[in-house]
Amino acid sequence: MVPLSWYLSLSAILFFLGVVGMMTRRNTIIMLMCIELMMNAANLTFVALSHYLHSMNGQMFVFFIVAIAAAEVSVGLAIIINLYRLKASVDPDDMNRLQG
Amino acid sequence: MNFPFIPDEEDRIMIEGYMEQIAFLILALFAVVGGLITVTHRHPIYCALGLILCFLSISGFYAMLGAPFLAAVQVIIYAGSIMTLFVFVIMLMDLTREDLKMPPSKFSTVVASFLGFVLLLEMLMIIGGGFLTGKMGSWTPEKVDSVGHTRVLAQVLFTEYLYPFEIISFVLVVALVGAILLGKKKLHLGGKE
Repeated sequence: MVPLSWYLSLSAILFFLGVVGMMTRRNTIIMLMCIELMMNAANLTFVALSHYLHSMNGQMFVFFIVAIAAAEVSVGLAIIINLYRLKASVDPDDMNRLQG
Repeated sequence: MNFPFIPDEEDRIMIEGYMEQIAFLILALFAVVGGLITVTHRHPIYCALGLILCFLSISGFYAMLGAPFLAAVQVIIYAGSIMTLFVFVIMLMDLTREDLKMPPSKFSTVVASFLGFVLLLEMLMIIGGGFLTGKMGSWTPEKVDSVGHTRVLAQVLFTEYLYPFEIISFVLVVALVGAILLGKKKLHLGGKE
């Protein structure tokens, strides 16, 4: 039997990788991939806890998160394509029209 | 230990437990390596491939955790369709050498990694604290196995989670329309021409 803490530690490590990638990379596509990585880490926590607590709710949440992730990625990539057409670049630092 | 070694029930459970732990460690290695490739590799295509590796090993974890339907969904939707979308967009972009350079400032990378490590340490401390408890549900693994995981999931989805299910279908339609609208060649968001 694999202890629950192993799963939780693994998803913590994956979440950490996603956070660091989000902060260090300067490429919008890779930043979106890092968001996906963080979401998957959260999903792994949900499924592990739902298995060890004998509950179905966590798995239902994963089901909905997958659907939301599909929607998010399709819209996010469409926005990135538009930004690329506008600026001919994927660097978020170039997208400074709003002076952010 | 007697010889020849004939495993009784207790030994069998112990050996299965060890096998499960070894499988976990191998899959965890693949997942972390995939995540590392995603975060560190210079070229987005290799990042996408690393992420696919990570997603496939996570689907292996779902199978180990008694959720075969979610493992299939993970492979089909995440590793299949979402990553295909990513790879297609990367190919559409026609990125040059200039776009692929790594960040010039090393200082921000160091600060970000330090902050990330602090976050990781906090999360591991919470896990090591051992106060993660919750209300036990009624779906024991034996009960789920006897009914069938997909059937249990469908039962819960279409009774307890019926309204979220309807809302999620609406969200998907909105995302579809939005993606088509945003992907059009000329974008007119209201206003005059």
